[in-house]
Amino acid sequence: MPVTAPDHFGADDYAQALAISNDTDRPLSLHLRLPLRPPEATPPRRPGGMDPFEVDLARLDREMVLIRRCLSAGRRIQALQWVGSALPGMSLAQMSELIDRLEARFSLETGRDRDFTVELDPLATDIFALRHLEALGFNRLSLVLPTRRGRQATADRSAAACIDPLLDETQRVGWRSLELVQLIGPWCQSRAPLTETLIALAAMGPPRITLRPVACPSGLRLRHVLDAADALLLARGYGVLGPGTYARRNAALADAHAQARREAARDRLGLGTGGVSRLPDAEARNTTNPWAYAAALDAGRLATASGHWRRADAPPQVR
Amino acid sequence: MLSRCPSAIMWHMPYIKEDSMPDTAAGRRRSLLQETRCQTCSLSSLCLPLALELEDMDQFDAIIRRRAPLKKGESLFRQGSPFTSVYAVRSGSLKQVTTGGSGDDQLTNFYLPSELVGLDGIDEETYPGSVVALETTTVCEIPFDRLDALSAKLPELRTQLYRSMSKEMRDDRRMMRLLSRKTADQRLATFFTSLSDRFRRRGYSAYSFRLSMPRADIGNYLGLAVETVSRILGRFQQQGLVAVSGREVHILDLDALIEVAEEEGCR
Repeated sequence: MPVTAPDHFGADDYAQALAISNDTDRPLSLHLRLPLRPPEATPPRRPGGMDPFEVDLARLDREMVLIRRCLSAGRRIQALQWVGSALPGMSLAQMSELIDRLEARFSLETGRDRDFTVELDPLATDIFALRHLEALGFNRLSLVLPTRRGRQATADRSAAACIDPLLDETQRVGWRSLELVQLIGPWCQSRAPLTETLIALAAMGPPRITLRPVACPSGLRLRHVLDAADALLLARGYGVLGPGTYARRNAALADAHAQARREAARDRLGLGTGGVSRLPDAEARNTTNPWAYAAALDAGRLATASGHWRRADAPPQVR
Repeated sequence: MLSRCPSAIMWHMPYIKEDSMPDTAAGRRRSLLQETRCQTCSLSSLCLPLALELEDMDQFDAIIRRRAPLKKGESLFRQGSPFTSVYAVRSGSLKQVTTGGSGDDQLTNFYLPSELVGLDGIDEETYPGSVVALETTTVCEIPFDRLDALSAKLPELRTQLYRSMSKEMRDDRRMMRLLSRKTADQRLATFFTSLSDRFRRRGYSAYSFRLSMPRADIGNYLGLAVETVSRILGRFQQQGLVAVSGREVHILDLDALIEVAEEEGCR
């Protein structure tokens, strides 16, 4: 149970929790969401104005600076999780720029034990982007599959045609892991499309499969979906890592467990809208509102919207 | 690419028969420079005449047509044109571009001095890709029917021809492995170490050379975006592996570069 009410936890508390986390000196895991807002909320570029990506990156950089100030110099980023399926419209140079900013603000791990994951939309990426991301240091890939609407055999085939080369590349070149993320929604309420989709996913043989609920009708219904998925994927050589997450019962499962153990030993820093940070003594969440996020950063404050201290002897509330 | 080598001056000159030159000092000098024969060519130890006796070399020399230099961007031949000759590069460099059914160009080879161009046209009797000069380039044209006939009489020539074909097959296998198994860093490191080795075999510095091809061509050849090539070049410089200024490349730590090129397993 949270020791403090979420709405009483603010940016100064988060900064204090960051500073306290230096005592344990754990490695860091950086989770960032970029773009900072969904495409429909992204303002069009004005003539002569800054590219929306540049604006987002400038704000993200400001957030990095504010966080970095609270951390001791020696703490390294051992894990990086870039979510947001950011690739559509994003150039390779912009991806490089993001990594350059991160390297400028933090010390990024380069050894084999790093876990740098990028989440991509397979329909909006290609092999060259994948090789570029690998050159930037990413070594784990999540491909988020489009939400299925009813029977879409043609769309499934077209998705598979995009996924197969990426799957092949990650295996040949030696990415540490590949995860196929299937968004599950109302379409999976009837058993047939779900089964069909899971069979198609397993047939591709990815090391990991994740079912990510979006707009699922109820917890009970979701439980039924996951139970059905467990049965089907276990029969096809997968082991269960957690609710809706699976890895092949071979080196992939051992790798997933090892990654989870490493992640548990790190302090998580969440950047961007809705970013969640988990520190030994506190959890904090950024605002999910892109305008509130922008306003906070533009005012030189962290965009913490909620959080709580985990310890009963937590420091007194800052506000 | 090789213009700093004094003998390159000779390679850039078209072949003109000695008796057609005026008997002046300048004419004699030009005659000397322009007479490009296999016996006097500094690349003969790497090229087809490698194992030939002097009299055999004359026979080989007689079938060769020395062509006017190709300007940068000029085609030696185009994809699909009838196969008639193979070409030995005397100076400069060329690239082979293969255009696929969807119209996309894939750069499939780079050729340096002493290397044979066009061997892949023997089978289907058409050239499978266009070959374009990357800089001012001179080649010796060797009509294949005459080469074939002569190699039947000269076993050493036939052996050398087989060796050239074998080397091309071996290089293709290496390239397949590079494209299928290597990371972007390993690809670029392999490209540099291979170039370094090719220059060294030709008697040039293995550590300093000039790239005749733009980064876009290197990326196309290695299956990488040009941004990726630039990114990795930047990293190699930071790591002290190479120093790059424009197209001038200085390999600072060849051993470390070879180590990157030959790394195995995942990153």
